[in-house]
Amino acid sequence: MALLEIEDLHTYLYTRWGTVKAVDGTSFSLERGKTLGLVGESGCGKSMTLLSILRLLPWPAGRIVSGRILFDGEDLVQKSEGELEKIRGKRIGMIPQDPYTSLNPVFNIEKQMTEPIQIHLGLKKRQVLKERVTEILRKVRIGDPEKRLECYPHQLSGGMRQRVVGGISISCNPDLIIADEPTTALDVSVQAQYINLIRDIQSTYNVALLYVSHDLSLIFRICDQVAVMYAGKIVEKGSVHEIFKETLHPYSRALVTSIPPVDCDIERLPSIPGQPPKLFALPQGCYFAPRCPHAMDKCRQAYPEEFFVSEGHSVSCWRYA
Amino acid sequence: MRSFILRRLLQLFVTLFVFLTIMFFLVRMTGNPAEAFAPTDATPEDIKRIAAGMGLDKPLYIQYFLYLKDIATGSFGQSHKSLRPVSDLLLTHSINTIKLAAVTVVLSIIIAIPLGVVAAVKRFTLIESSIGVFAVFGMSVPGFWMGIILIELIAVRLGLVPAGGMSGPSSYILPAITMSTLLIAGLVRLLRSSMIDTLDSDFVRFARMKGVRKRPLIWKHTLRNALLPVLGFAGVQIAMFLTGSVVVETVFAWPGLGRLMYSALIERDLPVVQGCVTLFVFFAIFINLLVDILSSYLDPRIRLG
Amino acid sequence: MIRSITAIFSYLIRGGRGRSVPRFPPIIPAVIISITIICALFGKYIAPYDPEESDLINRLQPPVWHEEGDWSHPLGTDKLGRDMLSRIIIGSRVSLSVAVLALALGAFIGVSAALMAAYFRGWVENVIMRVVESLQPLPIIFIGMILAIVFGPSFWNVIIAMAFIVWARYCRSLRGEAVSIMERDFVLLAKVAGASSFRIMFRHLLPNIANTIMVLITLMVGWAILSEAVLSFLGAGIPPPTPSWGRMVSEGRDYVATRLWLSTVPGTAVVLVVLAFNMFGDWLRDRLDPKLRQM
Repeated sequence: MALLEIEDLHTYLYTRWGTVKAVDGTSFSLERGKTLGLVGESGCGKSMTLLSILRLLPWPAGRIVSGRILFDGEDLVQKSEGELEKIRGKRIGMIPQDPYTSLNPVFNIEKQMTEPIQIHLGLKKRQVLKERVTEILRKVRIGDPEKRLECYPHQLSGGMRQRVVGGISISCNPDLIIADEPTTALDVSVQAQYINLIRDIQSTYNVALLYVSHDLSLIFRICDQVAVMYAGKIVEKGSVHEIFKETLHPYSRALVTSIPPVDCDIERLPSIPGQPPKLFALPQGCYFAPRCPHAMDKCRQAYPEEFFVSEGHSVSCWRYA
Repeated sequence: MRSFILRRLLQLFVTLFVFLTIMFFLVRMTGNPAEAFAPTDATPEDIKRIAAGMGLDKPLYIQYFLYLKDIATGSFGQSHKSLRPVSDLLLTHSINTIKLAAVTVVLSIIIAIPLGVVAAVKRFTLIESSIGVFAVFGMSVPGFWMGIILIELIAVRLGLVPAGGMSGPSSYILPAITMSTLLIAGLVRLLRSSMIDTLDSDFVRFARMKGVRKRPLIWKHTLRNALLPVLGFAGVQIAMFLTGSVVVETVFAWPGLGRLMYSALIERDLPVVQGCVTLFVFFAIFINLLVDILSSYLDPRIRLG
Repeated sequence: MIRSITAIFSYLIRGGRGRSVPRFPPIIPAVIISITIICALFGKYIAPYDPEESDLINRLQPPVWHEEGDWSHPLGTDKLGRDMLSRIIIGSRVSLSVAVLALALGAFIGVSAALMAAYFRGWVENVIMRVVESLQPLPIIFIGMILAIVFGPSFWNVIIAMAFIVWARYCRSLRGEAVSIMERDFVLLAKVAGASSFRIMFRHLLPNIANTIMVLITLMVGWAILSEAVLSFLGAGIPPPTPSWGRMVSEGRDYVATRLWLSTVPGTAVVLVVLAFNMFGDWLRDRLDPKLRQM
């Protein structure tokens, strides 16, 4: 059985300007110890999917309307807040996007790191906690951990803070780590180091990783499975090999071709024409049709169903019907 | 931390200086300052004596230094009415003001913090709108109106507490309630909006992702951060609070600085008014400094630079 | 049941159901504000009596809800036999004109200072902001009191004292926004195109902070009316015989044991008008500029 299984998830945001179908019938699954990459432009519903899994949607605007989120066989949608508090941070760790704003500015690193251990593992003694946290800081390759514990977030660099955040997310040995574009706020030089760190941790502890990014090339490098999301729906998903070999959906293809090849100079990167759709006013038919170079009449009439092109590779596009 | 406090100290010193300078020039703009300082029934000799005391025959900058020296040494002249030195009056009256203010501030903080937090946490509920309505009322009700009504209802009709004056603990009740209303309303409004912003911040969301339970999440992670912007607006609140204290002392015949100032104003006793105003501004500055120390204690970004 | 009561209640006084801000202002505050403005403008024609004419035979008459009151003086008369209703109607003129003039003067100085700080940055901004911060802790009534005792109480004293405090608050609230607008592309373009500093400040910066200025002004009308009432109550505000609500309260205090209405009626006028302006200001702020919640 898969560790995380999302079935037909619908998460809507009820805003002042209307209802936004942020997640609109998404399904995917993630095996224990594997890595799934969720790719898409900003505003496509990736973050809302993550927040739905943790049940931390913006209140009162966001709501899970229907669908199931099975985590280790249990439906998180049905859980009470008290039960969720026992899962968050213990069985599911999260690495948020921005390390600069994710740490509480008024507490020192020691307090923030020991907190989940105290809550979930019931350890009380300061010395025990401190040793454990020092150990974790070493694992996330922070030099001189004893000294860093005394620090406040504003005294650390961005890369260091993101390591601390990563350390917090693994501190209770979770089964699943959710990473929401953890490197976007970091310097390019630090990004590669951080991604390597995540991969190392993932393989040593054998945790499942749900990695969200807009960078398909990165996803190809670190993931086993890929799901491409557009306007709240998954348009293509499958194993990295399949999709890398044969990218089918026009949108995924556009994402691939906008990756600059390493070995040649090109004057201009191809870009996807048009704007990402406004989620208040989605077009009839396939949402990508207005920007799609291959759009047919059918595409403007009905949203394509999911077609399986091979074992574990499916795509929602009428061209593969 | 030390540099921050020193910087603020310097700034507050500038405030005091600006104020004293304004006062100095205002008095000199009246034509004959000695007349302004003299009692209404003063003889020409009296006025001459006062003029000599203020150094009015000397150049302006020497007058200015004399004036600053007098204030620094706490000699504000003599009251026309009681003929006592103003500094004596200030000393005896300010203690009563400080007592009432301390009671009020403690009361306000005890009430305002839970209300502000609850209003933010229970958003879009009846609780929030009730607290909101209460806060708008508190902002809008002048102390003199509320004081008069409280005296009539609780002191006169029900006879529960004394109507005025300072006699025993029960005499604190009505003035403290009246004075704290404005402060509570202001604090609740600031704290509520700051709590709402903080509850929406990334670090609170991350704390929830760690599995922090609701109570510590609100009272530790959020509140401590939400208090910082509230302290940032303390200057305005303190100014309004001191204004309120003058009104409340007048209404409740509280033997404090505010009442002293009011009666001096009515009797046109300028030395006393000047002394009271200076002392009030000094208080304002002192409380501002306390608030700065508190915020540097709460915020490591200030404490550690 | 409770929900619908809350909804009606909040529609009447707060103009909102919480989540979304309605297009129309809350009804009760809007009505009170309109009445106040009408009284301030046309009070002379509405007031049944001359507010400054004393009539010692009819002094200290009780209001109509009192057993001995009658409709000849609906709100009774004061110690000189002046009609309270007329004094309150005319008093609105003092309250509003002080508030409007003080806020306009304060806004003019404060907005100019904020624009200059944002445009020139550097030492200009430093000096302006230092001055603003040093004025922050000064309570308004002390400045008003000094002015009153040195020059004698007057209408303009109150306005000057208030504007002196108000401009610093405007400047502090607007500077940040003005600075961020200065950094936007269209201002940069205007600079490149050679627009004069005056033109950039008034054609590009000012319209972009106009909403915030409006909200700040409405939010502070209540405060200004309250401050005038406090100053007048303490005898440092509007001098007699001009009717002013704060002064009426303080005059009524001599009779508070037997004729409570002499202070509570004008006091209630202050409460209602200030409350109405504060609620209206809250609505306007939520409507135009939700970011300003801090104020």
